Amino acid sequence: MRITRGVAKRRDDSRDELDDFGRFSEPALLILISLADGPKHGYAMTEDIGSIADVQLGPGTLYGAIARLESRGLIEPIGSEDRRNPYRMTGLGEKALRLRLTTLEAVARAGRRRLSSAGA
Amino acid sequence: MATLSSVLLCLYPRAWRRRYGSEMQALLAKGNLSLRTVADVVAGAIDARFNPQSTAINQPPVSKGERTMTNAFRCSPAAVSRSDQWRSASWLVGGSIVMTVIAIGLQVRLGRNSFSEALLYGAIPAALMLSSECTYLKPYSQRARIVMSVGGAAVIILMMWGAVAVANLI
Repeated sequence: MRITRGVAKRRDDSRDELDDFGRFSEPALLILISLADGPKHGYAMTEDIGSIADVQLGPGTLYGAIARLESRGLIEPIGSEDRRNPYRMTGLGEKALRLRLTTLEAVARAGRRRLSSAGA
Repeated sequence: MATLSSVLLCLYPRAWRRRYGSEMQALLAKGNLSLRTVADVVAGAIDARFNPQSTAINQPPVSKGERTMTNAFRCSPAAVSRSDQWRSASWLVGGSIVMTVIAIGLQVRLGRNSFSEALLYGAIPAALMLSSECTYLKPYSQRARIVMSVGGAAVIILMMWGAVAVANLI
């Protein structure tokens, strides 16, 4: 119960950032994770996400999530001379990613604890 | 395949195509255009029509050498469009003029007093604070932006008032 309350509080803190993304919530999280180690353009993001999460994001889903992240200032484009425009994560994006990962870690810990207590 | 991807991109709103069209086309050219990809792009186009992410798509595609305030000086956060920069400039100029006129009006009506003097001195810094609402403060929620910009402007005027009152006493 204590953990659940903690998770709920953290969810309140990050609600403005990723919670209103609807079906783009998971792709947006994966994009932020992909950009955490440096700027990437769309194709590099889909390749990276495919390798780390085994998820193949389609172009419509990828750019739907990119537009949402960009409009909220979580990522920003970097000028490029070719048409593949790279993006990088902003400070706000890093904060949102950290909050979301903390929430996911707390949920995973609670799940594992309950599984182990159910098995005992 | 290039023709099919161009047709698919036509399903998106014009502003969206202007912003992301070339990037999406480059991505579509890299992979094979399977039925699943086509369905994904069509679903994306429907979403773009019903949920246009106006802040992002109203910005022109960013390219090297573009002379926007954001790119040239790195002095405003991401997602600040040209219209935001114009709005910010309007707040600065308009706010300064309005506060100066109010200060002069108060001096004419009430005679020389410390508040109107403070308003006169603090007009530009207070207007600068108000103008930050659509640039530096843009990533914050609307309520936070109003509190920080209007509150900041009010604090500037109050500090000026205090300083002028003390100076008049000395």
